[in-house]
Amino acid sequence: MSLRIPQIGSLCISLKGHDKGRTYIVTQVLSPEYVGLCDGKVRKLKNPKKKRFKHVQVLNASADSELLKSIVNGTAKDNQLHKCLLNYQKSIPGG
Amino acid sequence: MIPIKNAKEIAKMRAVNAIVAAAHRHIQGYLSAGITAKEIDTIVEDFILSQGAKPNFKNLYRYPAATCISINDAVIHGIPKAVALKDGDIVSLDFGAVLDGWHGDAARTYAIGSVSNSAQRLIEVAKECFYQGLAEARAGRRVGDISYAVQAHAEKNGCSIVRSYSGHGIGRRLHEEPAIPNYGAKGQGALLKRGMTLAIEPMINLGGFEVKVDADGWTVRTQDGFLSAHYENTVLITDGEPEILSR
Repeated sequence: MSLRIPQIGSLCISLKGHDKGRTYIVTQVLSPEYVGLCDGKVRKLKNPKKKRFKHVQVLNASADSELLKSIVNGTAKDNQLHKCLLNYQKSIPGG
Repeated sequence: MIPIKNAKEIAKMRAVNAIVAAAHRHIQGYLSAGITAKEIDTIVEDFILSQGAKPNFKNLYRYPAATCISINDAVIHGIPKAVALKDGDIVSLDFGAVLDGWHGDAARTYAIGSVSNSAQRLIEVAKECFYQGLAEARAGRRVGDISYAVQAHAEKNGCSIVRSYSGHGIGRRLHEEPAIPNYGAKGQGALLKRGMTLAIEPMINLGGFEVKVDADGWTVRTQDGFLSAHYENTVLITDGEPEILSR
């Protein structure tokens, strides 16, 4: 039986912890329970936030295919992630 | 922490996975047009019980059946219903068992009667992807090496990889660490060590990689309605060649 995992490149919002409400991009699937999250500013690609998958809500948005490819290949830059999240914030009402 | 199994524990995993493999061989004799998914589920469950093991999917996360039976555009987690298989269908059977507290898991996609060339090729590519991943499943390599090999083979053959579901570690629990995504980069992810047991399971689509979940909350389908195939075995990492426990 396959395991549901967060998709690398998905945007998500923290539901628990001191970072509650912060948006991130999933950059790593560490285990069935844990993901690595970055926002390119507070949490950079060199130091992803390790968080329980159940403590985030996956948003109906994801990195574009080019950024996704660079995340998977390890060539993404922090400013690209940050820009992606800023674009998302601008796209939502009141963002 | 990824559990490492000792010799005694591996022997138990061999035993339960042998039952899962035997159940797959047993059900093949029944697969033809007219049989319903519900009937297949009953035959598999009865077989596993007759071997002294128990189906381990049943009631896990409240899943209601012993098997996942996914037909045509259904990728995984199809709940067996009283729907008869038709000539030309492809059907993925995914099930496992638990014996003495140790779990086994395997999936295959079968052709019912004569299927289209593209469907037949899809089934073959899913199996080939598993073996490409298996070739990387060695002590000293990383999970990403498996993921990359699976993805590369699928995409080279014009298929896409389901990204939101993955393989997994297996042992005392059906789902253990690590997750084994079917896409990724070489050299990334957890280091593989002797004694780890992994369920490697490529899920391959003829169309795009996007999937959706039916209203039943379980059945995962391709979003574009194209066919999907699934191939899975439980594998033991050794110092040399990996061992397929559910062969």
